[in-house]
Amino acid sequence: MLMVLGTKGLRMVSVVGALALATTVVAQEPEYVAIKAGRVITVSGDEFSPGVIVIEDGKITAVGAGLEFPASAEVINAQGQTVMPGFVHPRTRYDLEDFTRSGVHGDQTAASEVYIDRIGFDELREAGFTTACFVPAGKGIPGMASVYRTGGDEDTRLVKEAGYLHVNAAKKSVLRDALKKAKAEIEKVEKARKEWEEKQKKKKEEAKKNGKDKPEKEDGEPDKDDKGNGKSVPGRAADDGDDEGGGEPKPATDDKAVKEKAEDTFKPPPVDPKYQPLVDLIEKKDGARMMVQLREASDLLHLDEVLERYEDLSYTLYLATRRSTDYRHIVDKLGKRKAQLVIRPWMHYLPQTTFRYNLISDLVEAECEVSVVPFYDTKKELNRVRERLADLVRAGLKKEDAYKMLTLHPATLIGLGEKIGSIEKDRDADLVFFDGDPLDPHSTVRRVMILGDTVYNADEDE
Amino acid sequence: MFRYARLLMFLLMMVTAAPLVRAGDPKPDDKPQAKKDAADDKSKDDEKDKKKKKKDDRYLAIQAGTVHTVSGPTLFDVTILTKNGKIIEIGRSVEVPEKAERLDSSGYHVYPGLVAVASSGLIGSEPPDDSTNVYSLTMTIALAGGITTAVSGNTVGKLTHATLDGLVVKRNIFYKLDYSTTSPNARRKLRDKFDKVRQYMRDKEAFAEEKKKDDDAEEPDKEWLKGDYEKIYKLMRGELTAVATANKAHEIIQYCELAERYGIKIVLRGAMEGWTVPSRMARAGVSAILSLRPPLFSTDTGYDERFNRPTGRSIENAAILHEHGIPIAIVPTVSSITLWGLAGRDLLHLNMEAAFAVRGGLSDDAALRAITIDAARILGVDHRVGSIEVGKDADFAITDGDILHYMTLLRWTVVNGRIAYDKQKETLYNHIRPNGDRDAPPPDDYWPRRLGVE
Repeated sequence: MLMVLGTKGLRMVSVVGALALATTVVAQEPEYVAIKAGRVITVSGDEFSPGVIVIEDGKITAVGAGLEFPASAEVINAQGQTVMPGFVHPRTRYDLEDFTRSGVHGDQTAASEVYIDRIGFDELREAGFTTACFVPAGKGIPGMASVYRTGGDEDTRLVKEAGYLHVNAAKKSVLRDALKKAKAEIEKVEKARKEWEEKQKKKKEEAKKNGKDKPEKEDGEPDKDDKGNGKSVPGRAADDGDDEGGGEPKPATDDKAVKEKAEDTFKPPPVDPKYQPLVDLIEKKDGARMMVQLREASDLLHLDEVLERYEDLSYTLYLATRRSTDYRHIVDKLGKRKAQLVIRPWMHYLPQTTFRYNLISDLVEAECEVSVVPFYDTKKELNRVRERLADLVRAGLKKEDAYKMLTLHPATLIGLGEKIGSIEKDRDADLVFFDGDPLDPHSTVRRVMILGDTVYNADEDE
Repeated sequence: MFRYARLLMFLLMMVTAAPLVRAGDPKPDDKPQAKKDAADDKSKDDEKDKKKKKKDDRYLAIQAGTVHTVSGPTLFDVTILTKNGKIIEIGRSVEVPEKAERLDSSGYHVYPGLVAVASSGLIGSEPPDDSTNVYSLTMTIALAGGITTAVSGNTVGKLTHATLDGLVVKRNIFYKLDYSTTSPNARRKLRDKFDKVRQYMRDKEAFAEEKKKDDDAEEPDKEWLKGDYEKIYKLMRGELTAVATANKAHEIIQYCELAERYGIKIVLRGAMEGWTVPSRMARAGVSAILSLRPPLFSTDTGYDERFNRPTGRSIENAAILHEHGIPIAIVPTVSSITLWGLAGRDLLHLNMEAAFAVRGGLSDDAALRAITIDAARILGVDHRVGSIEVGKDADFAITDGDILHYMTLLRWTVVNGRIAYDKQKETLYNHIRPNGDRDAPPPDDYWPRRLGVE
């Protein structure tokens, strides 16, 4: 009974219509929008009912009950509607063509597969998704995921080209070997650095002996340095410089020093770009993380064994198996590490039984940060994800947690937790309007807003 | 006695460890600053490791009713103390550390964990430490059958439920030998390889003698001693065991000849007609992995007359081979857990297969050995598993009766000092209580009833 009616209210809207709507409201002064909503689910904070959201140039500036807003603001009257942050899809291949590729391809991104006009972004946003993170095709380590907005100006849709590293390996050895190789790359750079440092030392000594007057080496290296090894190695240089370099000038301040003392600049050997993301991961570069699949509970133990020799790699998990699973065995383990994980919303069966249990609720109770994704990359399932969550809510999941699973948690997981995913000051005004409770299968998406612009309006379309 | 030995060991370790620690300390003058720091860090790491190890000491004390040690006498009302997966003490007045996990199994029978000499699907495909699903239902079913050690490909591993710790016991256990009578050419090639290696061994010995007299003696060429040759070399030096499948009497005799000719150890899988040529097998020193109820039917040929004839299979096979001093291990015909086919002839009932050997005249003791210590010996892991002895792995099958009796159920299975199966906690058999209300009824919230799903 619950299942059928959910999608009936939704209608297709042409992309053109939505875009036209977005471009009509272009102004030069700060552009204010005020939304008077029947109910505002901020996700991160309180609910307001009724509530007002004030938007300035695409950013939320205030949310609350009975707020004042500039007279010039465009007022959107959504008295009978519920407004919540736009949904975030943390792992999708919606409308992307599949092809086979294996091995490690850290230099690839999903963006190279995404042709904006070929992807049904309209379907995504009509289901309430304002952000989607596409993962590259292939087995093994096919590359980096890319984050897109589902509407707005086509040129600015790509939010983040290199998001998390997508690890799609069934074999334990794939990640193990890749990390080993990355470690070897790091060691290679370190070894080269040591050799260079020793050379410098010798040179210094010689210079001292010879009376301190022999600046001899070639120029032009600093440029290569910047390009050659990405941004990871200079960072390391700052760490390692202290150990043995003694009084050497630190690379952090060497912008000027570089030109004076060209030979002081260390030129690291290039890192294999395919392994660069893994190198970043091991070196704990800001924002570097990977998403690893767990097909079964046991995979977590195998993953731990692989990661044992690396300190605190940042990773998220994708619980890939649906329906009948044994993930219940690792709920505690996941909770202890406050895992960020992606799962399909479903009342799981115990293996080989007809017993069902609310795994997702258990995961939340264990303090995991759970994000949900539609069952499949089809239009029908995009719309059913709310309904499936509603099933879980009926079986004990808290509503507030359910909202987070579609918004704040996936936003955090793809590294945009500070920008989107909740209705707060300074967040992007990515909003979705429902004509009822978002978890009521009968309620439909009436309006979708991206950066304060309406990109879908069901009422106007009709 | 043993305790003193441990004390002595400890003292020895202290004595040897002390200079090690000192060596790690930085020396003030002769090292540059950075290296000194590195050395410092290293010794710190070592200390951390030591602390970690101390913290992680894991004790399990089993209060046992009857302990069938298999390799020694049967003991009554003793405590088995295990530490970090090894048995460290067995006796009546064992001091149990406070933090030890305790398992009261008084009134129950404690056997060594059973060894499945041939198995598939209990642990992952090779290498099992990369692929084992330690939460799989098959593993739990096998544990519920008392099996703690299994084989995957050419690797012996443990059924380590819920952990990967201590999974692999031994790799590369066998050299697969094919001396099939259907391919004379392949047989000749194999013999040639053996001959070549034998000649090399002779040359080497001759060289050793010659060297004493003549310093310029030339060492025999060994460039070719790689791959298969190297394995055969190991085989002929007794460092490796060969395994081969042979069921019919003439096949068995062929392998016996091979074993005698080259002095190698061969384990015969099947050996269905072994009982017709037991003395031949005994002379050649081969061992056998048997099934007491091999199938009469093969998918290729339908009902197989060769095995149905009077000299075909026999339930007395195990008894006769054992009588002739041939080491035997027993496995069911189907070496996996299957509930769809030959019911009762799969690894669900390893102990029942041994019981059938008893029906054929084998003694209880020998039947038990054939699924524990003798099986372990054939796999070359008898120093770790197969019997209850101090120093061996803490693998136990704890039953409510004689393990060879069909009414007997496993109550607990312990692997590496961890309780890997508890009948009361799994849904497989906890509803079966052949001895009336011996076990308290399961708690209301036991899995999965606690789910509250209608």
